[in-house]
This record gives sequence, C-alpha cells and structure tokens, in this order.
Amino acid sequence: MPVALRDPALHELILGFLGAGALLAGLVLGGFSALLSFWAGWRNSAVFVQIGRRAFYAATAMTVLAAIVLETALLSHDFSLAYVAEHTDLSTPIALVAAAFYGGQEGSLLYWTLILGLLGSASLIASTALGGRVAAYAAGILASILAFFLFVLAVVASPFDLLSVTPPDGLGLNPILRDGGMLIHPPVVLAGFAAFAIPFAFASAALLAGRSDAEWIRHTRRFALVAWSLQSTGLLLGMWWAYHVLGWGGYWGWDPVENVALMPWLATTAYLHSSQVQEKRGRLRAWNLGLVMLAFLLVVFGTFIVRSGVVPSVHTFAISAIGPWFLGFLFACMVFSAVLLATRARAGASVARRPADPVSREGAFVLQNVLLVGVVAVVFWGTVLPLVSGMLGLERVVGAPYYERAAGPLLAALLALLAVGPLLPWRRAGLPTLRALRWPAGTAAVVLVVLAVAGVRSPAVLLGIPLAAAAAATVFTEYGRALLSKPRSVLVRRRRYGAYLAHLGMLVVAVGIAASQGGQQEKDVTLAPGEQVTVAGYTLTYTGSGQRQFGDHDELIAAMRFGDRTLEPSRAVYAGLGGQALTHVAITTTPLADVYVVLAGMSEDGRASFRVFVNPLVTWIWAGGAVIILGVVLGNVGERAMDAELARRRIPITLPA
Amino acid sequence: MSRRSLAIGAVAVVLGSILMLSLAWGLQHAALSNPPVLGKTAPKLAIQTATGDEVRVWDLQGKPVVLNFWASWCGPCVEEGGVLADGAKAHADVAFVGANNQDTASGFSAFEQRHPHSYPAGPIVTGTYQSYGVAALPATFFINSDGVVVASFTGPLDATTLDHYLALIAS
Repeated sequence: MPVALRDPALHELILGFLGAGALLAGLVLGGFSALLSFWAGWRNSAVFVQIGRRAFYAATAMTVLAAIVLETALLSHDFSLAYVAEHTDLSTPIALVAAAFYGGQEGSLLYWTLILGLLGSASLIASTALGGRVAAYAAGILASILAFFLFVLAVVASPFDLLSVTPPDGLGLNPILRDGGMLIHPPVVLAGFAAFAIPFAFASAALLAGRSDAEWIRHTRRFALVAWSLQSTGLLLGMWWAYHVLGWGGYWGWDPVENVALMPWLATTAYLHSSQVQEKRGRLRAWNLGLVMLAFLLVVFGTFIVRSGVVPSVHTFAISAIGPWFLGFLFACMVFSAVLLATRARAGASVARRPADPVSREGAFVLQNVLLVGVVAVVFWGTVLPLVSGMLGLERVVGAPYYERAAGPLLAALLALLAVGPLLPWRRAGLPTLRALRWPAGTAAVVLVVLAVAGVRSPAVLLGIPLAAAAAATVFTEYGRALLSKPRSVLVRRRRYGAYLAHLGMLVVAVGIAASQGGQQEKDVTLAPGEQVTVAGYTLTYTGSGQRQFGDHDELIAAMRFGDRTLEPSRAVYAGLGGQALTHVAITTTPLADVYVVLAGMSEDGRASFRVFVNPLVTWIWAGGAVIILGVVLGNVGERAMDAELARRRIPITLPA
Repeated sequence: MSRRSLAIGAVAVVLGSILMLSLAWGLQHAALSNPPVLGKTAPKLAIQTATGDEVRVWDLQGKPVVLNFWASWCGPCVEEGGVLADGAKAHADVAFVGANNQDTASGFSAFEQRHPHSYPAGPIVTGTYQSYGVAALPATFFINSDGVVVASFTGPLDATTLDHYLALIAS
C-alpha cells in the first residue's frame, strides 16, 4: 500500500518486521537443511544432498537480508529499534554508525551468523570432491550451527526488537569504541571465530562418514587456514588497537576475552603443523581431528564467556540473556565431539607401525603440538579459575604474572623448536642434520653475548631474542640452501617456503614482544610549560596546552616537543554522553622504541601531569604480523592451480610415503 | 573397551562436568562482575522527582540503597517496574531510587502518568549515569549502608534476583 508506506512510523515498523521475518525464515530453512542433509548422509541420497545444500544457501540468503535490514535501520537512525537506540545516536559519525552493526550483543551475533552462512556456503560449494556423504554430513552440521544462531537471534536476542515509544535520540556508542580500530578489529575477529566452524563441520563429517583421508585434510586445512589467518589478523589488530587507545602502555592484558580469542588460534596453529604429518606420513589422524574439534569447542566456550558476562573483563557485552543458551550449545558440542571421537576415530586410525624416531620432523611436530596444547591448557586454566574456585567459595583470580610464568617457558621452548624443527628430516635425523644445527646455535650464542655485553639483564630479552635469532638463522639457511641449489623449488614448493616466511614474521613478533616486555620504562611527571622530562634517554619538553572542538567531543591537548616532532596527548570529553572523558594517547616511533605519552591530568595553573612510556621494538610486532600474513598468502593462494599444473607435468609435490 | 580408554573416558567426563558446573555457577553470579564502581564508594548522584523534590544518593547513608537507571522508552524497564515496586514495599528499610536518563521531559512525565513509581524517581540533576558505567538499560546498583556499591545488575530484574541482591546489602 503506497499510501501507508509514506507514513514514516509505519515505514520504520516495516524494517523491524522484515528483519525479524528474515531471521525466522532463515531459522526454518536452516533447520530444514540440517534434517535433510543428515538424512541424505545416512541414506547416501544424492538428491537430498542437493536439496539440503540449497536450503543452506537459502538460509544464508535470509541472513544476508536481515543484515541489510539492520544496516539500513542503523544508517537511517531508526530509533524505533531498541538496538539502534542503544548503540547509536545522531552525533555519532556515520562510519561508526555503520560499525555499530557489530558493536552490540545482538548485532555482533547477526554478523557472526552472516559470516558463518557465507563461509559455510563457500565451503559447501568447494566440497564436491569430498564425496556425497562427507559433504552431506558437513552441510548438516553447518546447518545445525547456523540454525542455533538464527534461533538465538530470532527468539532470545533479536536485533529487531521494537521500542514501545520511539525516542528522539539514541544512547550512543561507548566512547572507547569511537575509534578507527572499531572499523577493522571486531569484524575480523568475529569472522575468524565464525570461520572455525567450517573445519569442525568437515572433521565431524569425516568421522560420521568414516572417511579421514588425504582429501579431507586438504579441504579442512584450507578452511582452517582461512580461520587461522583471520584470527591472526584480528588478534594483531586488537593488540594494536588496545595499545593505541587504552593508554596503559601495553597491548596484551591476559584479559579473559583476549584469552578466548588466543586459544582457538593456538589449537589451529598446532593443527596446521600436525596435519602435515598426516599428509606426508599418514599418522596422527585421530589427533588432527581432535585438534580441529578442540579449536571449535574453544570458540564456543569463548563466545559463551564473552557474551554471558560470567568473568570480569573489559570486553563483555551488557545483557546476558543468551548465556544459558550458549552454555547448552557448548554442552551439546562437547558431547557430540567426545562421542564422535571416542566411537569413530579409531576406525580411521592409522595402522600400527613402528613409532617414528623422536628426533625427526614427526617428533618435532609432536613436541610442538604438545607445547601449544600446553599453552592452551595454561590459558584455559587462568580463564576458568575464577569460576571453578568461585563455585568452591574461594574466589581466586590470576593476573599477568601467572600467565608469564606458566606460559613463558613453553613459549621459549616453542621458539627453540622453531630453530631446530625445520632442519630435521622426516623419519630419522642423522649426523648431517646435527651439522646443520651449527648455524642457528652459533647465531644464538653470538646474539646472547652481544646482548650481555650491551648490558641487557632482562631474562625475557636474554632468552627470547637469541632463540628468535637462532630460528631466523634456520629460516635463512633453508632459503639459502634452496636458492643456491634449485632456485625454482622456492616457487614450486611454495607452501613450504611461504610457511618459512610466516615463521620469520613470527620471530619478528617474538623479538618485539620480548623487547617490549623486558625493556619497557615508564615515568610519571608533572611539568610546567617549558620544563623537560627524560625517560630512557629520550627527552620531551612540555610546550603548553590548548582546546580543540570536534563534532561529538571537545579535546584538551597538552603539547610535548620531541626533537623536531610535536606530540599531542589529549583528554576528550564527550558532551553528548554526560561528560564522559577519554584519554587519547600520543605515540611516536623511533627505530628502536616507541615514545608513548598519556595526559594524566591538568591543573588550573597550566601544569600538566604525564605518564611517559618508552616501549622498545613494539613496531616489530605489527611488522612481523604483516610478514606472517604475507607468508600465508604467498604460500597458499592459487595453491590448487599449482597442484594441477604440477600434476600435469608429473612433478611430485609430496614425499613418497 | 580397554581399561585405558575407560580411564580416559572417566577423566574426560569428570573434567567436563566440573567445567560445565563452574560455567553454570558463573552464569548464576554473572552480574557481580560488571563495572568499575564495585567495591567503591558510590559516585555522587542526585535526581529530581516529578514533584520537584531532590533526592541525593549520598545523603541516604546509613540506609542501603537500590539505585535503578531507567528510561521511558525502555521496554524492559517497564517489565521490572512491578518487581521493584514490590521490593520497595517489602523492604521499608531500603531506599529505592529511580534515575531517569537519556530521556525527554515529556517522555518522563508521560511515563509517570502511566506507570507511576512508588518510590522517588526522576531525571538525574547531579552526577552522570556514565560514572556508574551504565552501558545499557535497565541497570541497577546495590549500595550498602556505608555508601559502597556492593553489586550491580544489567537487564530487567526478577523477584528472586532482587532478593538475592537485597540480601547482600541488608545491614
């Protein structure tokens, strides 16, 4: 009815109803797809596989529609929707209004579901080579997960709930989220979280269908790599954002929400390495399946932790009505995985053979896996301790020192393994291998001596940097050997050499972390204009203060001169939010360290209080992160096309078993 | 099934049960973990009721306080209104205060006509809701007779939850 549509109130209601309707339709289609796909897998029916899959695509299409409706409502300031009123206001810049889509509980769940639907559809389209039954079961599991999320969205925490009275303006976005980081960090992390469901679905499907062979590994690895890359990027962006916005001089606080994002990443790092043992040597099948499932269970656990508010954290969402539903979902996923692994993994297990020599590539991968799972266990225990102890009436909480003491040695051992592992041959290492170790060992010794002579006494630096240097020597040895003998092999075996590049990036990150953890210096000072402060050899001069006005906030700026640069730390006051204040950090980067200045306060007489940090080598973390991603991309993009090309020319790309 | 796999299974079931139990326990106690004011003296806040009286939270010391943040456009705030009214009636020794925020004057008075508060309620005239870390409505803070915030809860209260928190601030 065109007349009614022109009525603005009705027009707004239509958005709410359209969105809720799309979610409901998606839920029905998702449930339908799950039932049909499981049936198809059980009966091995090609027709039902097709229908089930198409129902999944249709459910995804409904999710896309709901997402478009929510974004439209946000951008048109439709405050009749509770979600829009609670997360935006008229003064919020438009890019952040758009980002409020994933800024709150309900919207971020919708975003999760959207990514799950899109990546799930892509994985199903790519799954035809796996054979009917695996693809059917995978579709069934993906559809079940999708249907669960759509159920929560449609029934428990709908972003399309309407307010009885439309307010003139909304509550606005939390000032801490009013930052460029808001535009990139949450969507990448949430997409990473959603992506872990795909390897899980295919691992479970392989077990259900009794098929866990090489083709399964290839398919699962590809999507595990997508999830891993998204999560790596998301973690780094989160660290970068925390460092630039929160103003405490650090980038990682062992906050429960950081921990739950780290754990699936660690488990998947383990899987990406151990899957090679299965690919090349046919071993560790059940273990690989277990790791993929563990990564997803950790994601569901993390989602529960973040969204129910059960542990104190800076990230938790406000309202916890969905907590019990996610707890139930976690329980169902745990039971499903455990039963599947207990009853089906043995069937696909490798035939008993002589165990591999402990000093071999296999041995290195197994040790690396044990260490990574160890780090997961440490982080997991620290995260659930407040709950387990709280249940017993003890109320224990652990902080950064626990994590550093417990995980530090494991991480150091992992660095050492990065130096040794790539040099070990498959099956058994002989004397030539030991000779190859002279380069990394020599490098570590030289770097250690140089650091000691330079007066470095921090254990983190003295342990971390020589080990990282040793591992870098290993990477360069491998590159050098390849380039000197067969330069083409770097291109032909790109997955391997891409992985080495990623190793190199990881080492650069490790050096940045060791140096900034071990070498950070800070000073609190109160200065009158013209006075100076010197921290770790860097001298800053306070030149004076000033006011500046922006659209949604006012800033009080205290200028500091540093060489020929001017640093402007400030305090922003958001009038629209009842005068909430936020610190804006000023950071300048020199080749060796970041100078990081926080304006702590300003008195009537013009004197200003500052907290000045000198953080050595923090930029190495961001640079190393970029190298990791570059390595993964160069090593894997177009890998399939390369395989086909090599197969055509009959060049073997894997070692004979 | 071998003895070894039985043992592994048993350990897995025990650990899994402990995990699920502690997560469920966490869910029951979730709201205790919210904003930065917990355990600290309640930030200064005063409201003005429809009749023009000013109620200052910091002047209520000596009496436990239930401070509820609400708005006229907030559906769940209406939902919990009855629970809070019953609570105020049953606990005459506890001061209930309704802080109206992010609202318009007409919205507030229209709401008071439709669902009048049985205890002092009105727009904030001193202090801010941000000082309490309120990010979503409704949000309720439980302040003991020493003026310290003991607990907070975000979302609509039910009678059991309200009683649980009232017990925490009972003098």
